[in-house]
Amino acid sequence: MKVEDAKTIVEELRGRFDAPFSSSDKAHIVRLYWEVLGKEFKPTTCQQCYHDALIEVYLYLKKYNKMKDKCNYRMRAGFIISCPRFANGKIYTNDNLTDEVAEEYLAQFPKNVDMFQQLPKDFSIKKVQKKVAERNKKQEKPAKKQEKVAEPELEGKVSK
Amino acid sequence: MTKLCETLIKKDISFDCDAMSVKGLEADGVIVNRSDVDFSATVFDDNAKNIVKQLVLKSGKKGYEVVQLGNTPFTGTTSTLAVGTYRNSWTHEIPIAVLANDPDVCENIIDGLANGTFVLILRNKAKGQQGKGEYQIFGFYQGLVASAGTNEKYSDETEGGWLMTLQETNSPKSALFLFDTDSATTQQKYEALKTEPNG
Repeated sequence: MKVEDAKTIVEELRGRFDAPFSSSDKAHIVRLYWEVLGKEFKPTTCQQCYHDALIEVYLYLKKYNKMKDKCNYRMRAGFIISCPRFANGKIYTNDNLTDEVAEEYLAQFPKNVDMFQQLPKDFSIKKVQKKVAERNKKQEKPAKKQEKVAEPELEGKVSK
Repeated sequence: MTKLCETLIKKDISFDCDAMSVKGLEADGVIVNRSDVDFSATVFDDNAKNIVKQLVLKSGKKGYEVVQLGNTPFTGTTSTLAVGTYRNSWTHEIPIAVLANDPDVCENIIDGLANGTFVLILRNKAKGQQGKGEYQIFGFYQGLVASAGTNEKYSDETEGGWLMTLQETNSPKSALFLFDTDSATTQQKYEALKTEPNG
């Protein structure tokens, strides 16, 4: 589904927002939720849960104007990333996991590859470690350049 | 046998005024086919024998949500001591009401519950210090199996649905809890048990 298709369906459904959704409308919302947000919709006993899901999808499209990036990694049920030595202990679940985070985590903790049930087709720990090292190098370079540019200004200020 | 197992009391029997016991269970839980649990990846807390820090399922498997209605969800849940000849053990019993009766429910839930072996994680209303006592695991050691199941057409309680009772006998521990780091982390681990295999 493309972002324009998603927007069209959302607008259609918004037109029927004040009435209870039909079963086909609900099916559309479940699909939209997955396609746009990359999350599985879990219906609750609350009567408004489909309306809430539609609002969530609508707001996401309005804010980002794109579908959420699909992650090529998926952790096994019950496993989350919550390690004090990784990303300052920030918790990552399948809902907020990105390729970048998964790669950084596996580069640091390669033994935990067993905790992932879905990996990219050409995955190997060596490739990931190389990719992460290159990415980190690139990120370091601009930072150093910025420091160099900032230095003369500081010196200038000091000399005054 | 090289040593005696330590089965001693290690603390005063008194009350914690800041974390008094509260009766009951929250309305939701997670049930897992016991064969789907990856026991080799299970991590126990180094300092607390009744705490599991990590409970992970096998690749491609997921846990299923159990939701109960009413003011006393999972009413009738008990853990009782079973006196043995050489060693005592525990019997855990959890009734689950399934307020429906149709081909889909019977095939996918009732027939499974009747013949399978399960691990069930329920949420105590009493959270304990730091939330360590919230998520209680049943069926980890022996597995929960059905000990009773009824479908009473004119029942006021189940309204024509099913009442299944799961039981674990000979469990070596009075209770086992899921807890890691803090409440927030543990909640995410509990929610992650319901992860869909194909994202």
